[in-house]
Amino acid sequence: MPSNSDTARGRILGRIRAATGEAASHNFAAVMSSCPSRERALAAIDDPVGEFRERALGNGIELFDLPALPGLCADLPTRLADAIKLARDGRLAHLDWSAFQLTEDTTDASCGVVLADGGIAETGTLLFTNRSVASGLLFLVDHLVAVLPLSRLVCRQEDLWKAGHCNASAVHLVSGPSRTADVEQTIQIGAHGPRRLLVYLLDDRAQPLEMDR
Amino acid sequence: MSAPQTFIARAGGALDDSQLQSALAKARSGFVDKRATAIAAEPDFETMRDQAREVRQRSLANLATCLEQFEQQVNAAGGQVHWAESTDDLRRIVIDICEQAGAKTVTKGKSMVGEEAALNEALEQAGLTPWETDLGEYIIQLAHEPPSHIVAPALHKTRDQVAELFRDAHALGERDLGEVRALVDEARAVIRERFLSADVGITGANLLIAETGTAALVTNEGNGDLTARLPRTHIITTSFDRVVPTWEDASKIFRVLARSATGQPITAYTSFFSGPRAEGEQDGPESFHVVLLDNHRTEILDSEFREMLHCIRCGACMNHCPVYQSVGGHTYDSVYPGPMGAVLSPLLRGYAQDDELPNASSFCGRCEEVCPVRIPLPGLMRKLREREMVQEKPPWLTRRMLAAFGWLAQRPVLYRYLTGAGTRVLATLGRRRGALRSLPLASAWTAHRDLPAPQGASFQLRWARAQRKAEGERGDA
Ligand code: SF4
Repeated sequence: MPSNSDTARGRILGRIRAATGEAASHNFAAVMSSCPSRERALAAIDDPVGEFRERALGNGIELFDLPALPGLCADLPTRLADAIKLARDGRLAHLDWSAFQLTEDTTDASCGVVLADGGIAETGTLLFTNRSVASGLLFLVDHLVAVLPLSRLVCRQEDLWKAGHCNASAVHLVSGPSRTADVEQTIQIGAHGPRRLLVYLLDDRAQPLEMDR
Repeated sequence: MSAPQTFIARAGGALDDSQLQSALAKARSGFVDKRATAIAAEPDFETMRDQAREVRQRSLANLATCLEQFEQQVNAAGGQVHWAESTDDLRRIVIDICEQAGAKTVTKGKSMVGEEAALNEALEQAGLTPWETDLGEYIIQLAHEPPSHIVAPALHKTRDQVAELFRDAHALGERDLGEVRALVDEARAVIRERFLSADVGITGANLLIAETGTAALVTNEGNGDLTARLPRTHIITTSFDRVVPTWEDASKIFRVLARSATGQPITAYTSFFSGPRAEGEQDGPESFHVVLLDNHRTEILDSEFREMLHCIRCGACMNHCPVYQSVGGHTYDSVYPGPMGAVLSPLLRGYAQDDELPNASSFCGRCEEVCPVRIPLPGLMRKLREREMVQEKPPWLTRRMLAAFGWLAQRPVLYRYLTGAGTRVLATLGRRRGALRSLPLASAWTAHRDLPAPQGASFQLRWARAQRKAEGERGDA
């Protein structure tokens, strides 16, 4: 699109170019190649799982170990109050949910059970894209339960971008339960989103999940 | 009731406001201590600051190219970018989008650009109902007040004041709202319905990522995500200087943002929105708009104040500012308070009374020390002061006093004699208590505090004595 001083766009971009002196031949590929090399200036993370645990606990996440995926449905009732309405990620539908009251409507569910698309050790963070999980399922429930397969855990944010998680219309990094400190700087858990975030660490490194094969 | 016209007069009111002082006291230790703890736990923090600063510099140096890439990518994803030269333009563009969507109700996440453009008032005038969803923004919307902090908009309110606002607005009867928990639950219940029914969601953006045409949003409450994803239309109001080239660059900003703002390694939610819901996705809006505001930012870019556009809106400078800590955000009479506001407000609006904002600083330098992208805030304030002196002659009395001081400072013997005499007079007056309860011509100052009486001689005198003594000792050896 040519710069045109008849439009706000043209005038703004014209003023910016006058200030930065960007040549007309300058294109985004040139900007990309001027980015500093991607090698790390920050300390290496030697034990990603340990780092994830420590950070996640610090963020107020409740952590559990899950030896195998089917064990989830047996363990969950011990962590949640009875008679809770539950909505689940379609990718977990093959598990045995017979002991639970299920709903498809996320506005009606008080618990959501989801599979994380990635995990980041440096901040104890989970990644979800809305190719796999609806935003409502992440944000409208009172309790969010997430399974993180350890094969999807990386050290730093950048490692997930390299793995190509940037091309969904919504990507959510979730690092703890919803919280606010807007009243007298007092931290209060459960502002608009989940009051609890339970994360099951699934060790799938020897035996990858069905869907990852 | 309209606020007094000058910073000094508003500051006087703020110091006398005991509710405000009690709210400020809580914030003071909260923010400062939490940041200190987070940074002590992160040995790489200085490297992270350097990286973040480099990202901001490189982004602004390639700004037009990044913005064209951003726009192209948003278009490719089926969204639309709008360019607003003024806050008037921004209001008109947003209202047009809402009208085309046939909207009646609008949920809003926190957007400082929205505040800068007084968007709520404009939406109301256009017959729309804006619902703030960030708890702090919701509180000040009920109170019909502007934000007093860029991260914690309702920082100036005590919990009792919030409880009173909720009682008036929600018809609650005698329900107990004594605890913060009860207040948060009350807001959660009221706002939840609004998330589900709003026609349009408006949020800000902490960063724009050129590479993929993405807007990144950082929140702790999760309100931003519900505002962005549930309504049919998502509008992002932001300014063009938020853009960075790549996702890697965004990560470098996030590393310092939350640590500096709230002392968290990362906020509970960091979300990335790139266009409307795509084929095969679970949910999301049908239409996606990004409105980019200029409002004098292109002039700042082309001036000696460009570094101010590096700001990532973390609020650390105000949290650590002794002036802000004492008088609060409203005293600055701008949506951008504290040291960053003292530089930004005069550049964005150029009101005559803004000239006093860069003077609202003791130049202690803490703002620059804590700024994650190392903006030399005191230096920029000094430049604004210089500009003010050239452009706008200060009042006659100020000029005479400065001239007299200049004359005196060039005459060291006389200067020493007079300051020595002043010190002796004050020391004599305050001899009994070690402090002065009142001073002629300074009663407003001494009404709230005592002036410690000088202990002994002036610095220059003592220095001279120490030098002589040291020389004497060397002579003896
Ligand atoms: S000027 Fe620096 S410290 Fe102040 S809000 Fe901006 S980035 Fe934060």
